[in-house]
Amino acid sequence: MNAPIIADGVLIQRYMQGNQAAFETLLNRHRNRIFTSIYLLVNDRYLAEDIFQETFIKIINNIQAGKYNHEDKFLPWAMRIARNLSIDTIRSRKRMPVVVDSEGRDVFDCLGISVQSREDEQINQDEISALKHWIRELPEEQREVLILRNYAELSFKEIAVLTNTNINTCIGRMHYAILNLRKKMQKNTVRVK
Amino acid sequence: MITPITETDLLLFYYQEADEVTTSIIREHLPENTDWQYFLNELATISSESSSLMCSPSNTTLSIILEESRSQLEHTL
Repeated sequence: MNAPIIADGVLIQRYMQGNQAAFETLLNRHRNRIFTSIYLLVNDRYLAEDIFQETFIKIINNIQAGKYNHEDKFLPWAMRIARNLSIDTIRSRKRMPVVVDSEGRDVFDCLGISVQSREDEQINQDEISALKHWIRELPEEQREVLILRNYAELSFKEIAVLTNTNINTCIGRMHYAILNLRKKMQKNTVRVK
Repeated sequence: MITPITETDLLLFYYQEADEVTTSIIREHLPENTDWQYFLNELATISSESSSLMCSPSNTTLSIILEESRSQLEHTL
């Protein structure tokens, strides 16, 4: 017989009372959903590792500082932290200056150590998935709703609160994301994955 | 007269977020409606393929987080 699942809120309370195992359970329960969501949002495995770590360190600090509101659900709260950190990272990467050589090429391209090439290398190491590429090609707002619904498993209502939009906008974006993915799937004879 | 069911309704039905009335209409008419079946099958395919992309953080990252949580606990208690 399976042991009953202990609610996230109970685990947080136990952790606050000194139970480290409760925190480990919480981390193991949500790590893949949160990590995959971050990874698909920032498109870089190394950055995703950093953001994931930073997210959980903020979670720990907030819990221990008594800043976790027990009326909130843990996952949407954690995803809010993860999403904000992901957005900050994407913005700061966009601000990074590109250093070009005399012919106007990005010097890091020549060295083969640019963020993009590191990501390409990771893609080669991974089992290349057509679906992953199609998800990346979706317009940002559609991609975000799809990731938050399918990977973070947030409800449309929770996504609406998180992204500061209304529920119908979220549903509409998800609908377009699905339509776009269907089109890409139908257009490609390659089997997904 | 049956309320028209849109793909958005089917989307919400698939994610179990449709209201009770819409859910019962879709359940009742789904066996005879091949368009709905097709759309829901497509959604199921996308979801199932999506789950194959699920990945885990590295053990190093997890160790750092657990170390931090332990250390915070020691400071607090």
